[in-house]
Parts: sequence; structure tokens; C-alpha cells
Amino acid sequence: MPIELARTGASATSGRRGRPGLSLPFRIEPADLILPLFIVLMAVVVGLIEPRFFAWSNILNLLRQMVPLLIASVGQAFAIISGGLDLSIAAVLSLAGVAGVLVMQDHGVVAGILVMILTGLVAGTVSGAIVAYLRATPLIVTLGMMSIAQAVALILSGGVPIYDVPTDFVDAVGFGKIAGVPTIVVIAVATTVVGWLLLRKTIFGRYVYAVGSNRSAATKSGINVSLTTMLVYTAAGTAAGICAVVLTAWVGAAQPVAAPTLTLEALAAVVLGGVALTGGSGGIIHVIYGVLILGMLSNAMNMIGVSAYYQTLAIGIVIIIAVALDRFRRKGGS
Amino acid sequence: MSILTDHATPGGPTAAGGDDPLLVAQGVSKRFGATLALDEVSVDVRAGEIHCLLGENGAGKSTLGKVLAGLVAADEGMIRLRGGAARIRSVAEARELGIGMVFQELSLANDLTVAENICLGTERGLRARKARERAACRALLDDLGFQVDPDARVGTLSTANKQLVEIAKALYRAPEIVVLDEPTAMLGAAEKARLFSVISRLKAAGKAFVFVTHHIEEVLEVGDRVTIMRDGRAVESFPLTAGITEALIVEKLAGRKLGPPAAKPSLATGAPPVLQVRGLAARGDGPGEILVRRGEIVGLYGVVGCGREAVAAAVAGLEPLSQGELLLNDRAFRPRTPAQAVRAGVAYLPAGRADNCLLPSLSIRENLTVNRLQPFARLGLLRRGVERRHAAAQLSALRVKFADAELPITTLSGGNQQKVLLGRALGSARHLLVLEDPTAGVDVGAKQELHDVIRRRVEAEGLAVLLLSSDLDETLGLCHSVYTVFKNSLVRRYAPADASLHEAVIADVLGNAPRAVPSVH
Repeated sequence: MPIELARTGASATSGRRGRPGLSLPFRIEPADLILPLFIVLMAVVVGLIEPRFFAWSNILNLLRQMVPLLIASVGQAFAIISGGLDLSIAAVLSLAGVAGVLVMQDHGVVAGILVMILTGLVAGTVSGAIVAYLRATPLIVTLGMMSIAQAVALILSGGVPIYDVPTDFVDAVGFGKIAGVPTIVVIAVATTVVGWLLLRKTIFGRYVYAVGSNRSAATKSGINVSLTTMLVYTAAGTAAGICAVVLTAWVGAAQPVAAPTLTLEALAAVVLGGVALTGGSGGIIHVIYGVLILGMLSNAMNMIGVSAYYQTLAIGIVIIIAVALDRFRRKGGS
Repeated sequence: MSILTDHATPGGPTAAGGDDPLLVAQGVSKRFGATLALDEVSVDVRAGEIHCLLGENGAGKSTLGKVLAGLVAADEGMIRLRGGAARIRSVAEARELGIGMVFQELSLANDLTVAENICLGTERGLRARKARERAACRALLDDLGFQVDPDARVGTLSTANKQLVEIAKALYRAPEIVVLDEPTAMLGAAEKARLFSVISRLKAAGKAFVFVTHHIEEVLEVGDRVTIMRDGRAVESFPLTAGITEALIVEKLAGRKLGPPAAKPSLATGAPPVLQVRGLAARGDGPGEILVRRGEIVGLYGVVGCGREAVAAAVAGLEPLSQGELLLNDRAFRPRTPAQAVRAGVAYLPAGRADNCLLPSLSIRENLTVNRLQPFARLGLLRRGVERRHAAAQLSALRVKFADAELPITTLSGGNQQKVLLGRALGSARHLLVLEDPTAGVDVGAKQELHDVIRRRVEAEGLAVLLLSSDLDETLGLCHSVYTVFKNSLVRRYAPADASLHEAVIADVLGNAPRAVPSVH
């Protein structure tokens, strides 16, 4: 029989000894500084090649360009941290944009905006309910939702862009400013802050990490994993709805196939920033890193005059590098 | 095919001692971050010998086993195999050299069958030779006496059966040296006896074993030599001759004398029932129901596959009982999810720490508090300061040895991880706590601390506990009453439970004909 040893209290209570250097109130590891340094380095290099990069007008432009990607990436981050992913973001965004603009024409701007956000919320919740309660793979479910949302957007719009967008909406949201900052940038920042609050400051957020870290353990410790999973896709869909508001206002049109590469770019930004594809780790700060890198890359290529085809090629390469980095990071970490 | 005749060591069986060692590790050191896991450790293993590495958690015994099996690269030191220097840089290289390892953390693919798992990595050529593989696996499993279906998916097996598959997988490769890392952690008494007889047979055929364990009685049962490890160093190494006793090893192991085992909390008779499991099948004139009273620890003991897990799964809300019904505090209890069970005040600490309990990417604090965050939240927002203070108090009450509660839980040793997880379960256990193998793979010191924590809660707050442990000594030592289970039927109830019931319980769970054992009710 295993012998039980008498334990003296001394050895048990002196747990804080023997690990020098780990008593900081927060942890900074060299790995956490790589991306911020890379971003600064990238900005300097781009600025040296093209001094206009640091012009105020370009910085505003850069911020505006990053808005849709940032909002979509915050939504995507919820799905990925929970251990899933959402492939329907761009399609849901298209549907929300088309539906919202159609409603806007008859019932006013506010109703239209609400419809856009609600469309995203409902589409995400439907995907989430199927993933959570039917235990279906998020890859397939959101791929199906992508097809459905895209089809409905094409049907509603007749396959052509709707340019008949109220000018009030375009002026106020698309080109308006709040205290000197473009309205769409304010919307993106607000979305990001809410995303951060949800993930880091609420019980729901803690559950999202727990589910992504170990689904079985989360279930067995009494967490409502199904509800958490469903709400994760609700969040991702809502982000797609907010994205539709921003994009229709800025473009001044509702495209039936709006920003088709946005889903993958958001996935790339999230992973590039350091959110593990396996779930359970990473946060909004990592999303911001990823969006900054992709956004600056795209902005720099535009300024230097790289053709759209090569830009797509570059994004593809970056996505693959991001996934490879994700692997290396976890190899190094374990 | 018999694993006993194939690939026997050239020159045939050799007696332990006398000739040159098969494998020698010299001055092996390994550092993980700030921790020196191995500090110039030297050991050797001879053909036909079982060399035990004994030590508490964190002593470095598992790391040494992993170095020998190529899973962990040593920073310093050298390994000599059959007299020549050997470089072991990967598990595959170790396998080529005839070294196999049975991992403590199971290394099986859940979606493949038992046979596919056993043969994984040994396939040659492009064509899968399924029929041949299956036949070979069946022969091996029969030879080992493991009752596992080669066509079953590994994911559907119990943890104990997975462990047996893991052992079969290592032996399929016909290694000359087998490193066993805590192979009995998930096994019940019967499976353990089976494993030991297999090891003894293989030893007689000239195989060498490195047996990593913290169970002293296992060392005395099968070991030829033992190396005692403490804090990354090999403290002492000696042959297990007749004069070596448990007490002697304990002293060498701990560097201190054995304390008296803690007394069981007394049970108030006539305490109200918390859990009743009614309508279960009874064997012979066995009891038809399980009763757990307030302030009582009740054990459910049986071999792997006896069906006792179904009772725990039903109480925890994982899967309803196919036969029988549950009553919690005298009311019908049918939880459909663990979340519902938790809401009713029933907490569950499942077996399989890595698979079912740990949230590996989260911190120690987050792992502890994840199932009862409401007290720390106001208007849906978490108040982290309150949570931190609460977690710090809990961790010290649980006697967790940790550097910083914000570090990932994976930085803790197994015993300390288990303390955190027990703390998590206790946090939501208002009426009843269901424990499955709560001290599996945990060293003796941590085990006693875990038992103390459970006892304290039971005594102080009248918590009811249902314990399913593979460890019979633990079951008899901790429980007020014990039910034995055989083939989905309750055999007998023993109350009060104590160590003298050892043989009667073993007879019950192996399905021996009901004997005239006076069962005390």
C-alpha cells in the first residue's frame, strides 16, 4: 500500500520561494514584445521608402482602411478563442448591408442600422445554435451559412449593388467626424473595447477561454458550454453586422458581394497577432497587432503602387506565414 | 505470436547482477527554465532486471525515463547501450535501439481502433496490412491477458483500458528495454496484478525494465533494484533484498519518519440522506441501492468495466442511468448536463486530469475559480481584485505550492494541479461531491494533503462524497462505507470500512462466489 508521509507545514506554506524573477505584478516575456517591435520596425521601413506614409492624411486613411478588418477580426477572435472559427463573416456582412439599405430606403436610417446589426446577430446566433446544440463542426456550419447569406444577399439585391443609400447616413457615418476622428474609426474602437470587455471582464469571456482551452473539462466542471458556444457566434455575427454599417456608409452602396476576402484576412490577422488556432489563449491586443500588420502592409503596397493581383498574392503568403508562426510559437512555448 | 519468444536478448536470459549492464546513464542533467529537473543522475539497467525509479512528484524520475526513451533531450551526460555510446535524439531512434516507453500521459489516437493504435508507426510499405495487424494484435492482447477488443475505437474505452492498450503498444515493438512511467496510475487491483505477471514473464525472458513509480508496495512487489530520487538527484540505489522493508524505503525516500495516518472523521448516525441511487441490480442478496448521508464518504469499488462509472456519470449529469433512479435530498434528481448538476449543488472531479479537468492555457487562478465566478461579478463584470484575493486564500488553504497564481496551471506539478482541481470541485459542491481517482499519479505527500482537504470539508460542513477510486487502500482508508460492484450489480455494502476488508472486497469485485463473509451493516 502507498505509504502516506507526514507533511510538515513549513514546506507547504513556503510556496513562493525558489522561483526568482517571477514576482512581478504582471508578466512581460520577450516573446510578447516581438510583434510590437516588428510593427514599429515595419512602420519605419515603410516611412523610409515612402515618406508620405507618415503624413497625417495617410494615417487617417490607414485608420479608415483598417476599420472593417478590425471589426471583423474582433468577431473572428471570439470564434477562434472558443476553439472554432467563423467563415461566414463576409457573406453575413453582405446580407446585412443589402437588407439594411433596403430597409433604410423606406423606414429611415436608424431602422436600417438596426436591421444591419440584427441581421448579423441573428445569422451568427443561428450558426452558433447549430454548432452548439447539434454538435456540428463550425467549419462546415459557417461554410453553409456563408453560402446561404451570400445567396440571400444576391436574391434581395437582384445581383447588383444598391447605390440608393440615404446621404444623411453616408455623410454622418461614412465621412463624419466625432471630435476630429472619423466616425467609422470611433465605431471600430468602440467595438474593440466592447470585445475586450466581454472577453476579459465578464463571466461569459472567461467561459469562452475555458471552452477553447479544454471543452471536456469545461463541460465537466459545470459550465454551460453549449450556451457559451452559441453566444460566441452571436458575437461574431454581430461584428459582421457592425462591419456592414461601416462599409455601406463608407462606400455609399450595399454590395451583394462585399469585401469577399475579409473573412480570411480576419482569420489571418487574428492568428498573425498571436491568438492560437487551437483556442483558449490570446486576446484583443493580439487582434490589434495582426490588424496593424495586415493594414500597414496593404496601405504600403497601395502607396508604392503594387497591383491588386500582387496584393492578393502577398496577403495569401502572409496568411500561410501566420499559420506557420502559430505552430512555431506553440512548439517554442511547450 | 508470442512476445516471450520473439526478439529475446541474444545470449538468452541472464540473471540480474553479475554481467555488464545493458543500459547506463551517466551524469545526466536536464534543466527546464529555472528548475533543475535532473542533476547529474547516473543509473544502469541490466538484462532481466526490473529497476525501479522511486520518488515523489517532481523528483525527476519521469524526466529520467523520458530521457532514456528519447522524448526529452538531456543537457549533459551520456548514455551507453550494450557497452557503446548511444545517441538518443527522438522516440524513433530510441525504438530503433530497442528502447520502448509506456507513457503516463496516454499517447493514443482516440479515433483509431485498438489494433491501429498498437501498430501505429510500425507499418512498412504503402499497403495497410489490416488483417495481419489485427491478428498480431489479438495474439498479443491474448498473450498479455488484456481483455480489450482489437477492433474497438480507443475513444470508447475506459481510461484503464486505454492504459492497457498503451502498454500493449509499447510491447508490440518488441523492445529489449521498457520504460514504464507510472503504468498503474489508472489501473485497479486486478489489472495491476495482470500487468505485474506480464512484466515478470518478460523479465524472465531477458527484457529489462525501468519502472517509474511512487508506490513503494509496487517496488517491493516486482522490483529487483531501486534508485531513490529526490529533488532531481539519485539519492541512493540498492538491490531489493529480503531485508528491505517498506518503512526503510519510506525513510530513505522522504528523509523523515512516517507520521500516523489521519483518523477518519466520525459519522453522525442517522444523518439525513443526501444521495440515493435506487433500483440498481443486486448480485445475490446484495443491496439494491446506494445511500450517501450528510457528512459521509461512500466508496464504490470494482474492477474496470464493472459499471460503477455509470453511476458517477449519472450523478454528474453526463449520461442518465439505464436502470434505476437518483434522489438528491429526497427529491428525484435527473440532471441532463453537468451544469444542471452543479446548479443543484453536485460537483464532479472526473478521472483523466489532462483530458477532463485541466484548462491548460489558463492560469492557476482561472482554473480554480472557473465554475463559480458569480460571487466575483457585479452587473456582469468581474471584479478581479476580489477574485484574486479569494483565489490566494483558497490556494493556501489547499496547500498548493505555486510561484504565482497568474502563471499557467501547467507550470505546477501533478499533485499541485490536482489540489487546484479539487479546490475547483469543492467550490461548487454544496451537497455532494463525486470524485473519480482524485489522487491518481500524485505523490504520497500530496495524496495525504488531498485526503485532508476532503476530510476537512466533510467534517466541517457535512458534505457528502461519492468516491470512485482504483486504489483500494485509498477507498478503504478514506470511506465510511464501501459498496462493491461486479458486472453492473451491487455485491455488498461494508460499513464501517477499514483496511481489514481488503481481501473480502477483492473477492467481491472479481466475482468470486458469495462467501460467508460477515458483512457488517
